[in-house]
Amino acid sequence: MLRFMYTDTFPGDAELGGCPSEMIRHLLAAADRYALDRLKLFCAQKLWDIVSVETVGATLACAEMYNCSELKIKCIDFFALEKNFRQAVLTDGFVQLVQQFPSIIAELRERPVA
Amino acid sequence: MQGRPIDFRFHEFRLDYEQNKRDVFKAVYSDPFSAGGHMWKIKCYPRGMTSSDSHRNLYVFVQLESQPRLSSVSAIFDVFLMDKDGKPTSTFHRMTGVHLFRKQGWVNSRYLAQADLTEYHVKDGYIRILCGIMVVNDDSSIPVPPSNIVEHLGNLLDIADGADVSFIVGNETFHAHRALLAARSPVFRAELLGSMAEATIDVIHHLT
Repeated sequence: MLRFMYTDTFPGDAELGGCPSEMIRHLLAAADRYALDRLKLFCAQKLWDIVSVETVGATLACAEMYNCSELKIKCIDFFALEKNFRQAVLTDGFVQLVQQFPSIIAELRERPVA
Repeated sequence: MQGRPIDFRFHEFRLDYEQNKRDVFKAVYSDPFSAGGHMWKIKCYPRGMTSSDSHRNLYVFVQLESQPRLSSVSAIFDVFLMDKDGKPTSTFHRMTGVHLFRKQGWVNSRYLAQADLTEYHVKDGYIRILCGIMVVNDDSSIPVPPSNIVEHLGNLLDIADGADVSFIVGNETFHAHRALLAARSPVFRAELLGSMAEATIDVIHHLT
Protein backbone atom coordinates (compact mmCIF):
# COMPACT_ATOMS: atom_id res chain seq x y z
CA MET A 1 0.00 0.00 0.00
CA LEU A 2 2.84 2.38 0.80
CA ARG A 3 4.37 1.66 -2.60
CA PHE A 4 1.11 2.66 -4.25
CA MET A 5 0.84 5.81 -2.14
CA TYR A 6 4.32 6.94 -3.14
CA THR A 7 4.37 5.89 -6.78
CA ASP A 8 0.74 5.37 -7.88
CA THR A 9 1.72 1.98 -9.28
CA PHE A 10 0.10 -1.38 -8.56
CA PRO A 11 2.40 -4.22 -7.44
CA GLY A 12 3.46 -6.68 -10.14
CA ASP A 13 2.74 -10.40 -10.04
CA ALA A 14 6.08 -11.16 -8.40
CA GLU A 15 5.36 -8.88 -5.45
CA LEU A 16 1.88 -10.30 -4.94
CA GLY A 17 3.37 -13.70 -4.10
CA GLY A 18 1.99 -17.18 -4.61
CA CYS A 19 -1.61 -16.39 -3.76
CA PRO A 20 -2.36 -13.10 -5.52
CA SER A 21 -6.10 -13.06 -4.85
CA GLU A 22 -5.58 -13.26 -1.09
CA MET A 23 -2.90 -10.54 -1.23
CA ILE A 24 -5.15 -8.29 -3.32
CA ARG A 25 -8.01 -8.79 -0.84
CA HIS A 26 -5.71 -7.62 1.97
CA LEU A 27 -4.69 -4.66 -0.15
CA LEU A 28 -8.35 -3.82 -0.82
CA ALA A 29 -9.01 -3.92 2.92
CA ALA A 30 -6.16 -1.49 3.58
CA ALA A 31 -7.22 0.76 0.68
CA ASP A 32 -10.73 0.95 2.13
CA ARG A 33 -9.40 1.64 5.63
CA TYR A 34 -7.41 4.65 4.37
CA ALA A 35 -9.88 5.82 1.70
CA LEU A 36 -7.53 5.23 -1.25
CA ASP A 37 -10.26 5.05 -3.86
CA ARG A 38 -8.00 4.62 -6.85
CA LEU A 39 -6.16 1.73 -5.22
CA LYS A 40 -9.52 0.13 -4.37
CA LEU A 41 -10.53 0.20 -8.02
CA PHE A 42 -7.14 -1.22 -9.03
CA CYS A 43 -7.75 -4.10 -6.61
CA ALA A 44 -11.30 -4.57 -7.86
CA GLN A 45 -10.06 -4.70 -11.45
CA LYS A 46 -7.46 -7.35 -10.60
CA LEU A 47 -9.91 -9.45 -8.57
CA TRP A 48 -12.42 -9.27 -11.40
CA ASP A 49 -9.74 -10.28 -13.93
CA ILE A 50 -9.07 -13.53 -12.05
CA VAL A 51 -12.64 -14.28 -10.95
CA SER A 52 -13.89 -17.87 -11.31
CA VAL A 53 -16.70 -20.02 -9.93
CA GLU A 54 -14.29 -21.02 -7.13
CA THR A 55 -13.42 -17.46 -6.07
CA VAL A 56 -16.54 -15.46 -6.81
CA GLY A 57 -18.08 -16.14 -3.38
CA ALA A 58 -15.03 -14.88 -1.52
CA THR A 59 -14.64 -11.96 -3.93
CA LEU A 60 -18.24 -10.88 -3.47
CA ALA A 61 -17.89 -11.07 0.31
CA CYS A 62 -14.79 -8.92 0.02
CA ALA A 63 -16.57 -6.38 -2.20
CA GLU A 64 -19.42 -6.16 0.30
CA MET A 65 -17.14 -5.88 3.31
CA TYR A 66 -14.98 -3.12 1.84
CA ASN A 67 -17.68 -1.10 0.10
CA CYS A 68 -16.62 -1.75 -3.44
CA SER A 69 -19.86 -1.43 -5.37
CA GLU A 70 -18.22 -1.70 -8.82
CA LEU A 71 -16.85 -5.15 -7.98
CA LYS A 72 -20.03 -6.20 -6.21
CA ILE A 73 -22.20 -5.48 -9.27
CA LYS A 74 -19.86 -7.47 -11.52
CA CYS A 75 -19.87 -10.44 -9.13
CA ILE A 76 -23.65 -10.47 -8.87
CA ASP A 77 -23.88 -10.40 -12.68
CA PHE A 78 -21.44 -13.31 -12.74
CA PHE A 79 -23.57 -15.26 -10.27
CA ALA A 80 -26.66 -14.63 -12.35
CA LEU A 81 -25.33 -16.76 -15.17
CA GLU A 82 -26.90 -20.12 -14.47
CA LYS A 83 -23.88 -22.23 -15.35
CA ASN A 84 -21.77 -20.22 -12.89
CA PHE A 85 -24.42 -20.20 -10.18
CA ARG A 86 -24.74 -23.99 -9.99
CA GLN A 87 -21.04 -24.42 -9.33
CA ALA A 88 -20.46 -21.34 -7.22
CA VAL A 89 -23.13 -22.16 -4.60
CA LEU A 90 -21.19 -25.33 -3.71
CA THR A 91 -17.96 -23.53 -2.76
CA ASP A 92 -16.78 -22.74 0.78
CA GLY A 93 -16.50 -19.12 -0.26
CA PHE A 94 -20.22 -18.99 -0.96
CA VAL A 95 -21.12 -20.62 2.35
CA GLN A 96 -19.03 -18.04 4.20
CA LEU A 97 -20.54 -15.25 2.11
CA VAL A 98 -24.05 -16.27 3.17
CA GLN A 99 -23.03 -16.51 6.82
CA GLN A 100 -21.37 -13.11 6.80
CA PHE A 101 -23.83 -11.22 4.62
CA PRO A 102 -27.28 -12.86 4.61
CA SER A 103 -28.68 -9.81 2.85
CA ILE A 104 -26.71 -10.72 -0.30
CA ILE A 105 -29.14 -13.60 -0.83
CA ALA A 106 -32.00 -11.14 -1.23
CA GLU A 107 -29.97 -9.19 -3.81
CA LEU A 108 -29.19 -12.36 -5.73
CA ARG A 109 -32.84 -13.36 -5.62
CA GLU A 110 -33.90 -10.03 -7.16
CA ARG A 111 -31.53 -10.64 -10.02
CA PRO A 112 -33.19 -13.07 -12.50
CA VAL A 113 -30.98 -16.02 -13.29
CA ALA A 114 -30.16 -15.94 -16.98
CA MET B 1 15.80 11.63 -33.89
CA GLN B 2 16.31 15.09 -32.51
CA GLY B 3 13.74 17.31 -30.90
CA ARG B 4 10.29 16.52 -29.67
CA PRO B 5 9.20 12.91 -30.01
CA ILE B 6 6.14 11.88 -31.95
CA ASP B 7 2.85 13.31 -30.75
CA PHE B 8 -0.50 12.00 -31.96
CA ARG B 9 -3.88 13.66 -31.45
CA PHE B 10 -7.37 12.98 -32.62
CA HIS B 11 -9.79 15.79 -33.17
CA GLU B 12 -13.47 15.29 -33.84
CA PHE B 13 -15.21 17.89 -35.94
CA ARG B 14 -19.00 17.89 -35.91
CA LEU B 15 -19.97 19.51 -39.17
CA ASP B 16 -23.43 21.05 -39.29
CA TYR B 17 -24.42 19.81 -42.73
CA GLU B 18 -27.94 21.26 -42.76
CA GLN B 19 -26.91 24.74 -41.78
CA ASN B 20 -24.48 24.90 -44.66
CA LYS B 21 -27.12 23.95 -47.18
CA ARG B 22 -26.97 27.25 -48.98
CA ASP B 23 -23.26 27.77 -48.48
CA VAL B 24 -22.13 25.88 -51.55
CA PHE B 25 -18.46 26.25 -52.45
CA LYS B 26 -17.70 27.86 -49.09
CA ALA B 27 -15.17 26.77 -46.48
CA VAL B 28 -16.04 25.97 -42.84
CA TYR B 29 -13.44 25.79 -40.08
CA SER B 30 -13.23 23.76 -36.88
CA ASP B 31 -12.11 25.24 -33.59
CA PRO B 32 -8.34 25.27 -33.32
CA PHE B 33 -6.78 22.34 -31.48
CA SER B 34 -3.29 21.52 -30.33
CA ALA B 35 -1.02 18.68 -31.44
CA GLY B 36 2.72 18.43 -31.05
CA GLY B 37 2.91 21.95 -29.64
CA HIS B 38 1.26 23.54 -32.70
CA MET B 39 -2.23 24.78 -33.37
CA TRP B 40 -4.23 23.19 -36.16
CA LYS B 41 -7.63 23.68 -37.75
CA ILE B 42 -9.80 21.44 -39.87
CA LYS B 43 -11.01 23.18 -43.00
CA CYS B 44 -14.02 21.74 -44.83
CA TYR B 45 -15.84 22.44 -48.01
CA PRO B 46 -19.15 20.73 -47.16
CA ARG B 47 -20.71 21.22 -50.61
CA GLY B 48 -18.05 21.51 -53.23
CA MET B 49 -15.02 23.71 -53.66
CA THR B 50 -15.63 25.29 -57.06
CA SER B 51 -18.68 25.85 -59.21
CA SER B 52 -17.51 23.12 -61.61
CA ASP B 53 -18.11 20.57 -58.82
CA SER B 54 -21.49 19.18 -59.80
CA HIS B 55 -21.44 16.40 -57.15
CA ARG B 56 -21.17 18.90 -54.30
CA ASN B 57 -18.27 16.91 -52.87
CA LEU B 58 -17.12 17.17 -49.27
CA TYR B 59 -13.45 18.07 -48.98
CA VAL B 60 -11.50 18.02 -45.73
CA PHE B 61 -8.17 19.72 -45.16
CA VAL B 62 -5.94 20.21 -42.19
CA GLN B 63 -4.24 23.51 -41.79
CA LEU B 64 -1.36 24.59 -39.59
CA GLU B 65 -2.42 27.70 -37.72
CA SER B 66 0.65 28.64 -35.73
CA GLN B 67 3.92 29.87 -37.16
CA PRO B 68 6.64 27.20 -36.99
CA ARG B 69 9.53 28.68 -35.01
CA LEU B 70 12.22 27.76 -37.52
CA SER B 71 11.00 26.37 -40.80
CA SER B 72 8.30 23.76 -40.99
CA VAL B 73 6.54 20.96 -39.09
CA SER B 74 6.53 17.37 -40.32
CA ALA B 75 3.20 15.71 -39.79
CA ILE B 76 0.93 12.96 -41.07
CA PHE B 77 -2.76 13.70 -41.49
CA ASP B 78 -5.41 11.02 -41.24
CA VAL B 79 -9.14 11.51 -41.73
CA PHE B 80 -12.23 9.35 -41.71
CA LEU B 81 -15.98 9.77 -41.33
CA MET B 82 -18.35 8.16 -38.87
CA ASP B 83 -21.36 6.33 -40.27
CA LYS B 84 -24.90 6.85 -38.97
CA ASP B 85 -24.32 4.34 -36.17
CA GLY B 86 -21.28 6.23 -34.94
CA LYS B 87 -18.82 3.66 -36.27
CA PRO B 88 -15.74 4.71 -38.21
CA THR B 89 -15.86 3.94 -41.93
CA SER B 90 -13.14 3.64 -44.52
CA THR B 91 -15.05 5.05 -47.51
CA PHE B 92 -13.48 8.44 -46.94
CA HIS B 93 -10.35 7.26 -45.20
CA ARG B 94 -7.14 8.75 -46.29
CA MET B 95 -3.74 8.91 -44.68
CA THR B 96 -1.20 11.27 -46.14
CA GLY B 97 2.46 10.55 -46.16
CA VAL B 98 4.71 12.77 -44.11
CA HIS B 99 3.95 16.31 -45.12
CA LEU B 100 5.96 19.42 -44.37
CA PHE B 101 3.63 22.08 -43.04
CA ARG B 102 4.52 25.73 -43.20
CA LYS B 103 2.47 28.64 -41.91
CA GLN B 104 -1.07 28.15 -43.17
CA GLY B 105 0.13 25.11 -45.05
CA TRP B 106 -2.48 22.47 -45.63
CA VAL B 107 -2.99 19.02 -46.99
CA ASN B 108 -6.21 17.67 -48.36
CA SER B 109 -8.16 14.48 -47.98
CA ARG B 110 -10.17 12.45 -50.44
CA TYR B 111 -13.58 13.82 -51.37
CA LEU B 112 -17.06 12.36 -51.10
CA ALA B 113 -20.21 13.27 -53.04
CA GLN B 114 -23.30 14.77 -51.45
CA ALA B 115 -25.47 11.77 -52.36
CA ASP B 116 -23.21 9.32 -50.48
CA LEU B 117 -22.88 11.66 -47.51
CA THR B 118 -26.62 11.98 -47.11
CA GLU B 119 -27.17 8.27 -47.46
CA TYR B 120 -24.45 7.00 -45.13
CA HIS B 121 -23.09 9.74 -42.92
CA VAL B 122 -25.48 12.55 -42.06
CA LYS B 123 -27.13 11.98 -38.69
CA ASP B 124 -29.41 14.59 -37.08
CA GLY B 125 -28.05 17.08 -39.59
CA TYR B 126 -24.42 16.52 -38.61
CA ILE B 127 -21.43 14.73 -40.07
CA ARG B 128 -18.82 13.50 -37.61
CA ILE B 129 -15.34 13.87 -39.04
CA LEU B 130 -12.41 12.39 -37.14
CA CYS B 131 -9.01 13.76 -37.93
CA GLY B 132 -5.71 12.48 -36.63
CA ILE B 133 -2.55 14.53 -36.68
CA MET B 134 0.75 12.82 -36.07
CA VAL B 135 3.53 15.31 -35.59
CA VAL B 136 6.55 13.31 -36.54
CA ASN B 137 9.45 15.55 -35.75
CA ASP B 138 9.95 19.11 -34.79
CA ASP B 139 13.57 20.21 -34.70
CA SER B 140 12.70 23.62 -33.44
CA SER B 141 11.49 22.53 -30.00
CA ILE B 142 13.53 21.91 -26.87
CA PRO B 143 12.94 18.37 -25.59
CA VAL B 144 11.85 17.68 -22.01
CA PRO B 145 12.39 14.11 -20.76
CA PRO B 146 9.40 12.10 -19.55
CA SER B 147 8.23 12.50 -15.96
CA ASN B 148 10.40 10.91 -13.30
CA ILE B 149 8.44 11.87 -10.20
CA VAL B 150 7.37 8.22 -9.74
CA GLU B 151 11.00 7.09 -9.63
CA HIS B 152 11.95 9.86 -7.22
CA LEU B 153 9.08 9.23 -4.81
CA GLY B 154 9.78 5.49 -5.00
CA ASN B 155 13.36 6.22 -3.93
CA LEU B 156 12.05 8.33 -1.09
CA LEU B 157 10.13 5.31 0.21
CA ASP B 158 13.11 2.96 -0.23
CA ILE B 159 15.73 5.21 1.34
CA ALA B 160 13.36 6.70 3.94
CA ASP B 161 15.24 10.03 4.10
CA GLY B 162 13.54 12.31 6.57
CA ALA B 163 10.95 9.69 7.49
CA ASP B 164 8.85 10.76 10.45
CA VAL B 165 6.41 7.91 10.95
CA SER B 166 6.74 4.13 11.06
CA PHE B 167 4.47 1.19 10.40
CA ILE B 168 4.94 -2.02 12.33
CA VAL B 169 3.44 -4.95 10.44
CA GLY B 170 4.15 -8.21 12.22
CA ASN B 171 7.92 -8.27 12.65
CA GLU B 172 8.61 -5.75 9.93
CA THR B 173 8.94 -1.99 10.19
CA PHE B 174 8.31 0.42 7.30
CA HIS B 175 9.32 4.07 7.44
CA ALA B 176 7.27 6.77 5.75
CA HIS B 177 6.58 10.50 5.59
CA ARG B 178 3.48 11.84 7.25
CA ALA B 179 3.09 14.74 4.80
CA LEU B 180 2.95 12.37 1.85
CA LEU B 181 0.54 9.99 3.58
CA ALA B 182 -1.71 12.90 4.47
CA ALA B 183 -1.61 14.21 0.91
CA ARG B 184 -2.74 10.84 -0.45
CA SER B 185 -5.28 9.71 2.14
CA PRO B 186 -7.90 11.77 3.99
CA VAL B 187 -7.84 9.16 6.75
CA PHE B 188 -4.12 9.61 7.27
CA ARG B 189 -4.56 13.37 7.13
CA ALA B 190 -7.00 13.22 10.03
CA GLU B 191 -4.90 10.73 11.96
CA LEU B 192 -1.54 12.39 11.46
CA LEU B 193 -2.13 16.10 10.90
CA GLY B 194 -5.65 16.98 11.96
CA SER B 195 -6.65 18.64 15.20
CA MET B 196 -7.69 15.24 16.51
CA ALA B 197 -4.25 13.86 15.76
CA GLU B 198 -1.73 13.08 18.37
CA ALA B 199 1.10 15.26 17.24
CA THR B 200 3.57 12.93 18.80
CA ILE B 201 2.30 9.74 17.16
CA ASP B 202 5.18 8.12 15.38
CA VAL B 203 4.34 4.45 15.19
CA ILE B 204 1.26 2.96 13.55
CA HIS B 205 0.41 -0.61 14.35
CA HIS B 206 -1.15 -2.26 11.39
CA LEU B 207 -2.64 -5.69 11.64
CA THR B 208 -3.01 -6.94 8.08
